[in-house]
Amino acid sequence: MLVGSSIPNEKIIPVADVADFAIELPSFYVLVTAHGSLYDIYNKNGTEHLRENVEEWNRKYGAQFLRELDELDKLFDKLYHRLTLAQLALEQFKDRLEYFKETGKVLP
Amino acid sequence: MNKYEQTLNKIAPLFHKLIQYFDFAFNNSQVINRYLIKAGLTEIAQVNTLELLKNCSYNYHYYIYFYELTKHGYLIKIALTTENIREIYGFSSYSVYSATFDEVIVNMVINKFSFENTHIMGYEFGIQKNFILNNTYKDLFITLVGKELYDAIRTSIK
Repeated sequence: MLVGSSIPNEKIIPVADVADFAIELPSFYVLVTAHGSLYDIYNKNGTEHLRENVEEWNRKYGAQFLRELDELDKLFDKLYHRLTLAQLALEQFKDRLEYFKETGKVLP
Repeated sequence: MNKYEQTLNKIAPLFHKLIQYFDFAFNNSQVINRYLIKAGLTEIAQVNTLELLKNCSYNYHYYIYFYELTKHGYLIKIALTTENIREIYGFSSYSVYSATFDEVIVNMVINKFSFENTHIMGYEFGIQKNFILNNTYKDLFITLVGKELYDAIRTSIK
């Protein structure tokens, strides 16, 4: 169940010139840079997107976007420690694979 | 700075790091297969298309794949959600359980290894049937990451 945002009237404004990847929310794809600057937001249902008409998009979808992002924010905080551990594991996975590529041997 | 900017600034850098590992695993899929054979997990490597997370259930879903936008070409899309709202995202069971090895690692850790003793399910194209491998997700994780780090993560995970 999604919860209400504490800032329902916050205006969403794109600032970045390019996107590095997209974060998926239940209703949107959020195009961002590696550092988190917002490039655009696409609606999953249909072709509407933030940059097409910022005022109109904010009026129609701004509050919903904030609610969904707020929900992801809470989940991210809850899992942050585990995600950093997962990152350690991935780094080790990469190192072990690089070693295998160089030597043909699998580390114990 | 607006609240949504603070949130994106916090989440995006870690997500972007995780994407680098997806790229690495995607570009080294043949090497990973050879690695697994060398490490003795031959059944996993012999499966042509492995729906790696098909035979298990878990609460937190980490999901990553390529996404096409007409104006932007292909971008990588990343999602973090829970089982109870997974359907709101429109995730099909196929898209959720068809995972790369980096996704398996992340999903195991964020779920506190809840399905580590489950045996992996493969799909053999030759006989067009699913089959259960002898190896568990724990076997796979240790092979990919190493026993030492597996033990360390199991000890420190909250």
